[in-house]
Amino acid sequence: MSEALLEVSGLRTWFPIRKGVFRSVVGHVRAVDGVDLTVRAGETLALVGESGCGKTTVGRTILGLEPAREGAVRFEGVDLAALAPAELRPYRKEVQIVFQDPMASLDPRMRVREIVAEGMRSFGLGKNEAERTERVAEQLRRVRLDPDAMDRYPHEFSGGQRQRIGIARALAVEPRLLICDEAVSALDVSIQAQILNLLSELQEELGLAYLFITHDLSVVRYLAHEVAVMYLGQIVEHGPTEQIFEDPRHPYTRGLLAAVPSVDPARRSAEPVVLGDVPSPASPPDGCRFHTRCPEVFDRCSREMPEVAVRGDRGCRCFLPRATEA
Amino acid sequence: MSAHVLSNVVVGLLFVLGIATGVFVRRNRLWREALFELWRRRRVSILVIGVYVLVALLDSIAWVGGGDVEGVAAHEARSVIDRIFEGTREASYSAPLAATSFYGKEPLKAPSRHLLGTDILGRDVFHRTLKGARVALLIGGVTSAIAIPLALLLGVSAGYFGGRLDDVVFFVMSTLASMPGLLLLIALILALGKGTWQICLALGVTSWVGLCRVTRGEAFKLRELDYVQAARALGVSELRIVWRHVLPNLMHLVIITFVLMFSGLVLSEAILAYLGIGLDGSWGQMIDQARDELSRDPVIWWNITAAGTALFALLLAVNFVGDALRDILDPRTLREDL
Repeated sequence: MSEALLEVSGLRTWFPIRKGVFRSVVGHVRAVDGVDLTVRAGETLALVGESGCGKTTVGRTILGLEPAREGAVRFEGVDLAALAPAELRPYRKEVQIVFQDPMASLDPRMRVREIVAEGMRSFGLGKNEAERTERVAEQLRRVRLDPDAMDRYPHEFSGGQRQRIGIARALAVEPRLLICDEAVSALDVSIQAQILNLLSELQEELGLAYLFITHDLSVVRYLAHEVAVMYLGQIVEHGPTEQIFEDPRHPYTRGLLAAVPSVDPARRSAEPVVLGDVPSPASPPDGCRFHTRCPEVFDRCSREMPEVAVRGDRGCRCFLPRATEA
Repeated sequence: MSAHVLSNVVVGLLFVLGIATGVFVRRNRLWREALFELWRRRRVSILVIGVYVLVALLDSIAWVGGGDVEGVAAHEARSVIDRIFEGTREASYSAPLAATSFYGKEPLKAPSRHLLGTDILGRDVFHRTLKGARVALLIGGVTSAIAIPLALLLGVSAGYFGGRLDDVVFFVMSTLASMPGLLLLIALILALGKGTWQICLALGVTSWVGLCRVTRGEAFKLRELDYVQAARALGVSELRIVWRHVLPNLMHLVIITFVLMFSGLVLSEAILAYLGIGLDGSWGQMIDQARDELSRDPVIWWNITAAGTALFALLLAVNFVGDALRDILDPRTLREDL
């Protein structure tokens, strides 16, 4: 196992709810509420969870697009969350993002050449126009696109091609960590496979690390070395991918895995599925965040918040003995 | 600097601006295709507007001297249009293409050459109608040049940066929007005085709110879009994001609003002229002055018809183009093959 590239600890990102004429803060949406995770150099960590659990906000906070309320985002030991904007700038190059919707993530009024070169200009990579053009061509080849396409506009490409352009834009500044925020969720299944193959080839070629944010567990199993399961702003379980899939310990993880549609009737489990809807992150339940939906809830769950019990390379936030005794 | 020199300089600047825009459009394929599509759909309207612009420009190029003309002071500058109609001033009314004056008494200086007749002072109505084009375009152009930058500056900064600035801008917009437009306009003109700049300024103050509201909303939306977020993650500065991403993606709204606002402004001036606070030489003024003539017997109809038709044709052409532009540039109707 390689060393940690990115270490997030105790991260909280809260969004204030303002009301009235004076915009006084009447509460917070606790989108991210105490998240710890580690991405290792050249490996993939998948962050999974339902819509609205805060996984996208984790990515945005790591990038510095949202201010962290508490906690540290350490990139090779440097806490990015504590840096002033000017000091953060060199690290922007190291961490980049690929978005979910390839329609919205490319400026419709820019040519591919300008889109891919934007980060190069920003960081002064490539001395002149000719050199930048050469670098743009190189990036396009890297994502298996024809460099001749660089004078075309985003709407002239298909969804999968657009997603490749988005990847090329991120790679153009030579990052070491790529945050893929639902990067394949908006694509057709056949295109998904192409993009996933591309991502894993790029990981081998360039030694990239991925923080792969998704709700699609089948994608996770294909790509991820490790998995962190997120529920209502917290990580409820984390560990190596195979172990999480073969032996899920947290009731929520088991619920998620049971909800994955399977073509094999033998694999369809009789496990209880997670009940009801996600509570509002503006007023999360007391005690364990998951107790309102947990099929195995008992009285302690509504009073106390369980801590993450770490056993070896796995962790689980639950009181059940199965969670703590490996 | 005397008025005609300024006018000539402005014509020169417009020429340079036109060439610069042409070069930009040639380079940018999206705009080139959009304009080509506009031409394909609205050929006649564009040609009509082109004629108006040409006439207005010809009327803006003026110089002093060149021939001794009666009734014109030696230091007075006359435009190209003025020079075409030189020496055709009659004593009073004459009907279109008439050989004698209206009451049949005296022979005309230029018989059968007054295409649209002459007015009470013997001025050629066709000449005055042509001169009205310059006034109309001046009002639309200068007012837009005041209102659009103001609306963009306030709208984009309020929408993109938000916070207190947004509160202030929104308050000002709501206050202005809550006042009856025409009353505010009249009050402003009475306070500022009558004159081209004053009227344009007054119209500008009352017309920026609409565009500002649209750009504010759009900037607010664009701020959250993924490509703006991606630029931020790439370390691009906020001002550069506004310049490279926000403004280009607002341009279609600005152009559509400009075209539709333009016809509204020309019409507003006509209404102001009707109230007696319009600009000298405008179509509105011609219509206002021709009101009484409709009660004469026989009716003097050519004055009001000429001004009304000229105004109507320009507004119709502009609105046709505006309508087509909305279809072509609105991203919601942006077709894949555009």
